[in-house]
Amino acid sequence: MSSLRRINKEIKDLGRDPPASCSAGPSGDDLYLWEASIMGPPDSPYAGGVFFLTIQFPTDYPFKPPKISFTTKIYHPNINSNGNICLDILKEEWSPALTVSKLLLSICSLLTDPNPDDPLVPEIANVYKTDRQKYETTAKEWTKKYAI
Amino acid sequence: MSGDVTDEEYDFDDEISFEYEDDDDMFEMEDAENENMFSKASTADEKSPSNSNSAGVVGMTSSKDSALFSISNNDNIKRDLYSYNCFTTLQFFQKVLVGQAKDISQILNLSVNQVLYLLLYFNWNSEKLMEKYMDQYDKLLVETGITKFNEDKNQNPNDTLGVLRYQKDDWYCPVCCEDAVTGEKQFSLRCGHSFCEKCYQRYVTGEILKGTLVRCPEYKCPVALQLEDFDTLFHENPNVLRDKMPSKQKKSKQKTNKKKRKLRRFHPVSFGVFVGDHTDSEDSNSSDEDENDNTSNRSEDDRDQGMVENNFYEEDDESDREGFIELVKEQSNILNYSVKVDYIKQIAKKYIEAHKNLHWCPAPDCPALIQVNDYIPSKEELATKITHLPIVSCLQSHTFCLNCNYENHYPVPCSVVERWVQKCSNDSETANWINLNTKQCTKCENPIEKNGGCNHMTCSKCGFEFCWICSGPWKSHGSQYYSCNRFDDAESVQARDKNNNLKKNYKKYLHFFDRFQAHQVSINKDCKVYEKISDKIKSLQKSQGISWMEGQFLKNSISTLVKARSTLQWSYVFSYYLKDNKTNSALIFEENQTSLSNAVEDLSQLFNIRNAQKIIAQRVQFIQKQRFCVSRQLSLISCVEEGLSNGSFAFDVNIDDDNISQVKRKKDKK
Repeated sequence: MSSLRRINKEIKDLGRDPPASCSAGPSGDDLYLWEASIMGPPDSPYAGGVFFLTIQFPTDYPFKPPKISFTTKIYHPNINSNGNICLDILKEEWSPALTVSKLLLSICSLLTDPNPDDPLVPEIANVYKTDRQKYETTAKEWTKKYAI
Repeated sequence: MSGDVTDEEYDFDDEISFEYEDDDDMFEMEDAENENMFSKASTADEKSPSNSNSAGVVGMTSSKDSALFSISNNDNIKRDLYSYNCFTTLQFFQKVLVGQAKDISQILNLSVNQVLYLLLYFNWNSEKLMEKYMDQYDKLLVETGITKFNEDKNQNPNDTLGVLRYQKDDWYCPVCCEDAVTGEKQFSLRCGHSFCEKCYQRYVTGEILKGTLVRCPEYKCPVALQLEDFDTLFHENPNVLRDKMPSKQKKSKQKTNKKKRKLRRFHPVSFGVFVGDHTDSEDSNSSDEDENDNTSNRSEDDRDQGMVENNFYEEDDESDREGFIELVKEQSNILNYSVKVDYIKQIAKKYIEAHKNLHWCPAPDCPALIQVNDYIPSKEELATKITHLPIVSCLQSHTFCLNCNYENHYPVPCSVVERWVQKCSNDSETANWINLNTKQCTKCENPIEKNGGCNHMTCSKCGFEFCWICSGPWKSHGSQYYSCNRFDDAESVQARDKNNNLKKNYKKYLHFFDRFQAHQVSINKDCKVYEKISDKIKSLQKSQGISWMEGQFLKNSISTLVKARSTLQWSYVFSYYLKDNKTNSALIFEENQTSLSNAVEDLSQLFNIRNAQKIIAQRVQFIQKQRFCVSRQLSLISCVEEGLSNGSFAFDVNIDDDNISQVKRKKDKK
C-alpha cells in the first residue's frame, strides 16, 4: 500500500516540522481518517479562533486528493454550512506532490484572503464584496461563538 | 455477416487480400514524417496504397471524390448529398488531428508533436495558438512548458523530452515516499521534477482520462508530457502496436476473421438498441470510394453492376471495410493496450464530443466515427424531404440516420420515427390493456376494472358513483330503471366516444405494429438464409469453377431485399400516422406499398431454393426481381416525398396522445 507509506511519512514530517498555526494527525486507529486544526490567522476576522477539520484520505491517495471539511462552523464565502471547502487544489488542481501540510497552509491563506469571485456561499460573498465591515463583524461574531 | 466480410475467401484471381504477411510488411513501413509516433494509425494510412486490392485510403475521401459516385440512373435518393468520412478513433486522430498539427507545424517551424502539444494546450483553437505564437513566441513556449525555462529555443528537440534514470541513493519519491532502491528508476520531464517510475505511470494512467495535456505531477508545474514521453515512461516502443501483437495472436485473428460477423440492427422498439442479429449487407453509400482505386477487375465490374442493379445504394468498398474492421478489432484487443494509444483516444474523444459534425456510430460497441463534411439540414427542414434524409453507413455497415440516430428509416421523417419508437418503448401495451379493459372514473380518471356485480359503480378513490354502461353519473339513473336509457346524455356520450376511439386506435396500432414486427423478423431470417446459401455458393465456386463475379448477384439480391424490407417496414409506420387514408394520394401510397410488398415477397421466395446449383441457374430471375424490387422501393419513397411536399399527406398528431399522456399522467402521480 503505497498510500499508507505516504501517509505515515506525512505524519512523521508533520511531527518533525509542523507548519505554523496548524496541526494534523490521525484521529484514531484509522490512518486514513485525520483530524486537523487551524488557528485563525491574526490578520483576519478569525483571529483567536481554533477551527477543527476532518481529513479523509482516499485509498488511492496521493493520486486523488483527500477530502477536507471544517467541523467548526465558520463564516466564509468559500466554506459552506456543512464545512465543505471550495478550493481548486482540493479538486481539479490537485497534484500528487501536494501534502496535507501544504493543503492546510492553503486553507489558512484562504481564511485570510477569501475568493468572493468563486464563492460556495453566494450570500456571504455578496456581503464580503459590498459591505466588508459587516462581513468582518459577522465573521468575528461567529468565531467568538463557535471557535473560541 | 454478409458477403462483405467474407469476400476474402472468394477466389480473387491474382489479388491477395488481407493476408497477414502483407500486413507484416506494412507494419515495417515507417512514416518518417510521423516520427514513429502513430505507428498504428500510420499503418492504416499506408495499408491502402500498398495493398493492391485495397481501393483507397480507408474511409478517407474528399467531397470531390464522393462526387464521382453521384451518378446513377434515376437516382431518386440523393445519397451523395452529404459527403462524409468514416474513421476509427485512431484514424481520426491520425488523419484529422495530426493533419491539422502538420499544417501548423509547417508554418510555425515546430515539430508535429510540439504543435499537437500546443493545440491541446489551447484546446484545439489553432487561431489562438497562431496569434499567441506570432505575438509572444518565447513567452508562449515557456508558458506552455514546451521548452526548458529560459533556454535556447533552437535546442535539440530531444532535450525537451522526459528521461528515465536510475534512482540515486539519497533520493526519495515525494509521491509514495519510498526511498531510492538500486535498480529502480525515476522519471522526470524537462522541468526536472522527478518521481519514481511507478508513481509517474500510475499518475499518468489516471490523468489521460481527461483528454487534455498530462502535466507534471508537481504542483503548478506547466510542463506536460509529449507523446514521445509516453513511450519512454511506459517502455513502449514507438511502434507499440506492432510489437504488442505476438505472432500467435495474428494467427488466431486470421481465424476469427473468417467467422461471420454479426451485425446488429436498430430495433425501433428497444429504443436505439440494435437487437437481433442480422447480417445486413447494406452497402455503405460510399463516399468512401477513392480515386486511388486500383481498378481491379472486381471493383470495376462490381461497380458497374452496382450502378445498374443497386441504383441508389452505391457500391461499397469491400477492402475499405475489411481494413476498417481489422482496425476495429485491433483497437478493441486488450492485449494491444497501450497508455499512449489510450491517451490518443481520449484526446480524440474529447475533440469529437466538442464538434457537432462528428458522430459516433450508434450501434453498440461500434467504434466508427462519421465525419460529415456538409451541412446537415435539421429534422424540421427535412420533414418533407424524405429523399434528403442524412442516412449514412459506417464501415461496419451499420446504417443510421444522422439526425435521429435510428436505423435507415426511409420513407418516414425523423419526427415520426421518434414518435413511433417512443410509442413502442413506453408502457403503451399496459396502457392499452388498461384502456380496453377498464373504464375511467369520469371524475378522477382512475381506471376501474369491473369484475362482477351490478352496473352501479362507485370509484374506490374519489367515491364518485357512475353507470358502467353509459359512464354517466349514477345520480340521474337513480330513480330510473336499471337498464341504462341515458344514451343521449352528453357526458356519457363523450366518455363512450373516447373509449371507442382508443379501441380503434389500438387496433390500428396493433395492425401496423404486427406488420412492422413481421418484417423485422423476416429481415433477420433473410440474412440467416443468405449465410447458408452463400456458404454453398462458395463451395460451388471452388468445385465447379464458377467465378466470383457470378456469385455476386446473390449478395446484391439480399442487400436489396433487406433494404426494401426496411423501407416496407417503415412504410407501415407511415400508414399508422397518416391522418386520412381515404384520399387519392393515400390510395396511391397504399397501392405502392402493396406493390413493394409483392415485389419483396417475390424476391424473398427465390431464397427458398436451398440447392446452390439451382440458385446459380436462377440467376436471371434473381437479378430481374431484384431490379423490380428496387424500382418499387424508389417509387414508394418518391410517392411519400411528393405527397409530403405538396401537402396531400398529413400526420395525425393526436393518434397516440391518449396513451402517452395517460401513462405520463400516471407517472406524474406516482
